[in-house]
Amino acid sequence: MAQECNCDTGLFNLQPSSCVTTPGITRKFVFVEYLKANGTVNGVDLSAPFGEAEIDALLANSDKTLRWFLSDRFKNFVTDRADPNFETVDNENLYVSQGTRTMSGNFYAAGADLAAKLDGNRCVELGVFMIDSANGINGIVNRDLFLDPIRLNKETFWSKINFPTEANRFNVAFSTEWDRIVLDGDIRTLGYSDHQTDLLNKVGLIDVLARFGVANSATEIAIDLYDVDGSAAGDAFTGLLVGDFTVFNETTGLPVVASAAVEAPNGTYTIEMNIAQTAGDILTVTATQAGFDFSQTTNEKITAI
Amino acid sequence: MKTIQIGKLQFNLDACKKMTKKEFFKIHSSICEKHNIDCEYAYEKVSGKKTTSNKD
Repeated sequence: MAQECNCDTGLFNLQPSSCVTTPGITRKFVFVEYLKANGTVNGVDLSAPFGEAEIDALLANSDKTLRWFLSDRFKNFVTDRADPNFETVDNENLYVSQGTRTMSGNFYAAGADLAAKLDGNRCVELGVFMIDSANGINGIVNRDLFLDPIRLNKETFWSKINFPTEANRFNVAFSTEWDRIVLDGDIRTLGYSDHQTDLLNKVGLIDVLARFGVANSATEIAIDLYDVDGSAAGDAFTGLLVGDFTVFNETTGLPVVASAAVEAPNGTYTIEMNIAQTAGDILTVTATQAGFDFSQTTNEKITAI
Repeated sequence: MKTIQIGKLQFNLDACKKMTKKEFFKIHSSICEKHNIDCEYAYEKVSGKKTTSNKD
C-alpha cells in the first residue's frame, strides 16, 4: 500500500504520460476472497499470460478461495469518499486520516435470494475487482506486476430488497465500504486490450441445489435438483445425463458408479448404482455441467436402505 | 464415459458392460419396468450380446 507520507517522500512530478488510462463507469463486480491459503493477496499475476482462458478458469474454479465470483450487471452505481478526518488545533484543521469510501448500487435482474447471498459477503475477508463499461478490470497496484482486489470492510456489507411500487421496479440494493487502508491513488485499470475478455457478457456460476433425496432400494436413489430463481419452489434443473453424476458413499469414503439414470419429471433424477449399498450408509450426489456449481447438492444426505 | 439412451433411460455403458446379465437385471429391472422399457432389449443394447432371437 502506498504511504501517504514518509521520510523519503517529497514533491512529485505531476505531468502524466501521453496516454492516460482511467476507470470507466462500474457495471459489474468480481468478488474474491482477499487472501489465498498461503497468505498472499488473491491478485492477478501480470507477469504471466492473463486472457480469456485464464479468466474463464477463474470464474469456474472449483476452489472457492481462488474463484472469481462475477456479479450480474447493476445500475445506479455510486461511490464516494467521505471528507477526511481533521483535528482542529489552534483553529487549524489538520489532516488526520482519509474518509471512508462507500459504494452502492442496485441489481434489477435478480430475485430476493440475491440479497441473502450478498449478505454472505460479511462472512469472509473479501476484495473486489470493479468491471467498468469498457471491460476494464479495476483493482489496486501495490506490489510489482500484480493487480490486487480492492479490499472491502466485510462488516460493512449489507443489502436489502426494494419492493416494487407504481413508480419503481423490484431491485436488490447493496452497499459496502472499502477497507480503511485502501488508497484511491493505488487504483489501476487492466484494460480490455490487456486481457481481451468481454467480462460484461460473461456470467458467473449458477448454484444448483438438491432436495428430496431418497433411497428406493439398495441400488437406486432419487433426488430433485433445482436452481433458485426467486420463486418459492425454485426452477427444476433439467438435462443431466448419467455421465454427469457422481455418487459418493460418505460412510465408506468411496465413489459409487452410476450405471443408469432417468429424469422424470423435470429435475427429478433416479440413479441406479452398480453395486448395492449397505443399509444405513450415507450417500451424496453431485454433478458436472459447465456454468453451474453443484457443490451444495452434497448437503442433501441420502440414507441407503 | 460412453452412454446409451433407451427411452428415457440413460445407461453407463462402461459400468453396464462389466455386469453379468443377472446383475444387470437385478439392478435395472425395476426402473426398466417403471419406464416401460424391455429390460432384455436394454441388456442386449448395453452388452452388445444378443440374448433373444426376435429382437432388433
